[in-house]
Amino acid sequence: MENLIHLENVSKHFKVLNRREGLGGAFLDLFSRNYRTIKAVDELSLDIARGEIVGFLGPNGAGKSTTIKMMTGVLMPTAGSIVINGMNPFSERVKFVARIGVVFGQRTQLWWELPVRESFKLLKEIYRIPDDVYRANLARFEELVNLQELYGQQVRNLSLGQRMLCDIAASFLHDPSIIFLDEPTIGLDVAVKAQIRRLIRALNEDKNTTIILTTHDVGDVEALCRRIVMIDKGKLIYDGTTAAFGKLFGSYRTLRLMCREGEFDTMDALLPSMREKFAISAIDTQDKENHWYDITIDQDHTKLSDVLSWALNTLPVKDVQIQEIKTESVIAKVYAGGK
Amino acid sequence: MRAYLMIIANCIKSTFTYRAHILFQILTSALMILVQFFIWRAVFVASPGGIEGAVVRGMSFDQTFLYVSLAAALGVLMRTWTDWDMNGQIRSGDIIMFMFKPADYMKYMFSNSIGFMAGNLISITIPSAIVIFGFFGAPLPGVLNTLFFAFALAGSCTLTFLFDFIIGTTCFWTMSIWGISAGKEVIIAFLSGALIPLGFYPEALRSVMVWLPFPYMYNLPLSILTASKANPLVWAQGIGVQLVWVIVILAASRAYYRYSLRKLTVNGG
Repeated sequence: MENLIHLENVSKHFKVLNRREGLGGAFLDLFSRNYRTIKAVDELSLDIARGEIVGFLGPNGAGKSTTIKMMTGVLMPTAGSIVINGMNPFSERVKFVARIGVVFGQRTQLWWELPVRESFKLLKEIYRIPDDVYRANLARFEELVNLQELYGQQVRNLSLGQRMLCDIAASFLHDPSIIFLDEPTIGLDVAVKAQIRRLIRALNEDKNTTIILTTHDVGDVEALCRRIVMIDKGKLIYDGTTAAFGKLFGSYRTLRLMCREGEFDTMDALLPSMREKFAISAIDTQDKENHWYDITIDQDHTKLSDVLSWALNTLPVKDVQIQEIKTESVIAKVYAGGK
Repeated sequence: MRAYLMIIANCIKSTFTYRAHILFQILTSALMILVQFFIWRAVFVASPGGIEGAVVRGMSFDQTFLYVSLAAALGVLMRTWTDWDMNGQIRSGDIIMFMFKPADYMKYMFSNSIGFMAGNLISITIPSAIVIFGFFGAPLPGVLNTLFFAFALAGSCTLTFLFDFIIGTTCFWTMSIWGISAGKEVIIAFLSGALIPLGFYPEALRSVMVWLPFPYMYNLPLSILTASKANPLVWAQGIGVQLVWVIVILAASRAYYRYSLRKLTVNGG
C-alpha cells in the first residue's frame, strides 16, 4: 500500500512559565524567566497509507491536537521529520494545505452571517476547484445527506448538527487527499452522529480519502476506523486494529453504586466480600464524597447481572449506573500489558 | 485574486445583515455631526468677527465645519475593527482555521477590511455626506478636489488597515489588545487631524507632525477636499509622501506579522 503519511521520531516541546501564586505572584510573573519544558509530543513515529481511516484516541492533553497541528503544518516540530503527500507540511504550508481538509468540531470555516452557499462559492475560488468537480461533489453530498435545503440558510441559523454536516462537506469540496477531523460529533445527538458517520464513510470510499479522526466517542471509532492510534503523555502507546483494541477494553464495564446516606460503614465492610465472591478487578472510591463507588467488572469472567442483583440485595444501595470503561482506564490497561 | 474579490463581496453582504446596527450607526454619526456643528459654532461666535466674518487660523466657520464633519464621516468609514477581529480570532484560536487555507492571512484581512469599508460607505458615509451637504448646506467640492481626494482616501484606508493589523498582530504576544488599541485610537485621533484641523495646533507641534505618517490619514484627504483653491502640485506631492508611508508601513507590518507567527508556530502556542 502507498504510504501517504510518514512521521519519524517527531517531538514537540513547549516552554511554559512557572506561575506563582496569588496577585503578587501574578505581578512577579510579568518579569519571570523561570520556564520549564513540557514534552507535548515525544518521539512519535507513525505511518499511514492512502485511504485509511485512523482513529486518534487519548485523554485531554495527551498530545493529539499538537500532533494534528504539526501534521497540518501549523506547528513546527521541535525534532523529527514529517513527510505527508511528499511534502514537509510546515515549510511548504501553502502548497501543502491546498491538498488537505480540516474540520474542528468546535470551530467553523463558514461565514456566520451568510447563507452556506456563499462560503462554498468562496472555497471554490480559494482552492480553484473546477466547475465540474464542484458540481459533482455538491451532487454527491445531496445524495448522501440532503444538504440542498440548507444552502440558502444563514449559518447562524443552522443547528449545530446541520452546521457540522455543512462544515464536513465544505472540507471535502476540493477533493483533498487527507482530511483531519477533530471531534466532529461533539455535542451532537444520535441521529446526526449517524448521518455524519455515513457521510464520512461514503466520501472515504468514493475518493479513497485518508481520514485522521480524533474523538472521545468510542462509537465514532467503531463505526469508522479499522485502525486505532492511542497517544498518552505525548507517546504512542497503542497502534493496531480496532478489533484488537476492542478486545482490550470491550468486555469491561463500570458499575457505579451510590451508597445510602449514613451507611458507609456497612458498605465498606461488605465490599471486600463482594470483591472476593465475583473476582472484581477494581473498586474505585475516588468519587466517594458524592457517595459513588466505581466497580470495574470484566464481563469475560463475571456476569454483570449477578453482581448487580447481589449488590441490590445485600448492599445499602440508593442508585446504580452502568458505564463503558473510561479512556483513562483503557490507558491503564494498555500500560499494564496490552502492548 | 477572484477569491479576495469574493471576500470583499461577502463582507459587504455581512454588513447588511444587521439592519438595526446600520440604523444606529447612521443616527450616531448624524448626532456627531450635530455636536461638531454646535461646538465650532460656539468657537466662531466667540471670535472677533462672529460666525460670518471670523477667520481662525486661516479657516472660516464653513470650512472648519466641513472639515470636522467630514473627518467624523471618514472616521466611521474607516472603522472596520480589524484589530479587534484579530484579537478575537487569536484569543479563541479560530485563527487556526485560516492557517489551513492556501491563502494569505494578511491579504484575507485586507479584503475583509475593504469589504467592511465599502459596506460602511454605502450604509453610513453616504447618508452622512447627504446630511452635511444637503441639510447643513456645505459647499460642494470641485471635480479636481474630489478626484485627488479619492486617491488620498485610498491611501488613508490602507494606512488605517495597516495600523489595525499591527495592533492585531500584537495580540499574538499579549493575548489582549485593550490598552494598546485604545492608545492607537487616541494617537491617531490626535496626530492625524481627525478631531481638530491641523492648522489649529501650535507651530512647534505641527513641525514634528509632518514627519509622522498620521496626518496622511485624515489631514491630507480632508485638506484636499475642503480646499477653496485647486493646488494639484501640492496635492500630488502629499499623495506621493503618503504612498511612501504606505510602502514603509506595509513592509514593517508584514515583517512583524511573519516574525510573530513564526515565533508562535516554532515555539508553540
